[in-house]
Amino acid sequence: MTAEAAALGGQGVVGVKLEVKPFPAGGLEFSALGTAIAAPGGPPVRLPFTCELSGQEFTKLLLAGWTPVAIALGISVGVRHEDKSTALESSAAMTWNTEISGHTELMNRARQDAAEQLRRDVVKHRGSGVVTREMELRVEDYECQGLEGASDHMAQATIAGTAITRFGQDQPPSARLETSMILSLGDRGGSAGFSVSGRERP
Amino acid sequence: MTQAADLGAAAIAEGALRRLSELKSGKSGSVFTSDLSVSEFLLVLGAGFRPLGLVLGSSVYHVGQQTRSWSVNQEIDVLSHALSHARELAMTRMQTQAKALGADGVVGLRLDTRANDFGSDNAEFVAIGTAVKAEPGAGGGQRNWRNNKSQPFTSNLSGQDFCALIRAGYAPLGMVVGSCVYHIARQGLGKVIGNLGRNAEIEQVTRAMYDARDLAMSRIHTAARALAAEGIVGMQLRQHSHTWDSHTTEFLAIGTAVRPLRDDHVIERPAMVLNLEH
Repeated sequence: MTAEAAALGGQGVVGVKLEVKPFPAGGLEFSALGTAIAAPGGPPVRLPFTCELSGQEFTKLLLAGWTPVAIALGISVGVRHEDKSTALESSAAMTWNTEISGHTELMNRARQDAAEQLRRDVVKHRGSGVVTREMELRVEDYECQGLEGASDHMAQATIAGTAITRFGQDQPPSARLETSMILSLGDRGGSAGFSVSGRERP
Repeated sequence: MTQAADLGAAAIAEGALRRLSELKSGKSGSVFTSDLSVSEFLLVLGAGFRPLGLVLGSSVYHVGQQTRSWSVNQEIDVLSHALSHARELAMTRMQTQAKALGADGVVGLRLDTRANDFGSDNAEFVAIGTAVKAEPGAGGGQRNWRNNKSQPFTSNLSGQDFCALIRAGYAPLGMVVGSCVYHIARQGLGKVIGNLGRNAEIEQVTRAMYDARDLAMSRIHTAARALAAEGIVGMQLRQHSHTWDSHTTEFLAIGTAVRPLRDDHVIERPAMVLNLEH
């Protein structure tokens, strides 16, 4: 997708959707779909940026002095064998309520590691930070390969986001951002809130 | 904190601290991670706070049944305690990370419960948020953002609400939780037959709901008073049945305790906008 965008003379891709679906002939198809954009008169770039942000979000970021760099992902998979301690702690016969430390550890490790992978991905893309879209944790229970009758637990944590970086380092970004209180005149459900606008402060 | 919590924390801390030391600001090439959307990120920046990193804590807890009377409305203390302990463990672990980052507070905190797929009576309690640090001059030059327990503040407010709160001259102190697990008595057979074929209020259930709510609300008030708060905002009221039977329910109240930063709380006059979308 990035190659295609570069061939079109795009400087970046917005609204990227990443999808994984089973392919009829077997296997999985991974697809990335987005819109290549270019600033008029801008020089062509070798590697366009990618982001999952909508057009609105992209504009807000630009006006505040930030630019997306790339989609950043943190994925971590952890497996823990069901051993005596977790089996005992989680057995239904148990009469008191307590923490099941084995499971806590598995899930915490998976999430922490996903967060670490995300951070490394941001560093790799030379972003200065990341705004996230979603965090997902999937846990599964399956039969242990090595030991019959026993089970293993698997936790898979995924964090997806967009790495961003600042341009125009000469002034702090907060000074360039102006927010105003708005009262929406939309439907009855319209509520008061903040809007972000990009006007420079005097 | 109990010994078990210490042990758990030690095991978890090992990997997490390495990640946090990398996130710690000041190092060259350090980046921030966050759990904020674009608008939230920009508004938090606008309020004078810099995101430092994504912080999280969780605890998998066994929240089984306990024996209770069939026909009496009553609180199930054992479960109430179990749930608050589990949430406290998750929150404490998350706060430990925030402190290790040198944060002034945590915004956009989500305290969720998810059914655990291993075993029937387990649930995972997760706290996820973004640790932030105040820039000089934030909130009218406020220096100390920690609360009276010298912990970084925590808040379940979104970036938008957080920004509105700071601009109106209030500061979050901490996220407060009040919860109560209640057993709703089953009706006597006579009552069931008496009500057959007509619509009537089931007084016992109504009373149980009132009692459960009162207990949860009084607990959240106690928590807010302990933080010397002026009030609680951003309240969410929820009712969970977790994995229990239909007559056992948890009433849960979550909010952010706040204190005033200054005496006047003038907010700017909002501009009227007509949204032309959809």
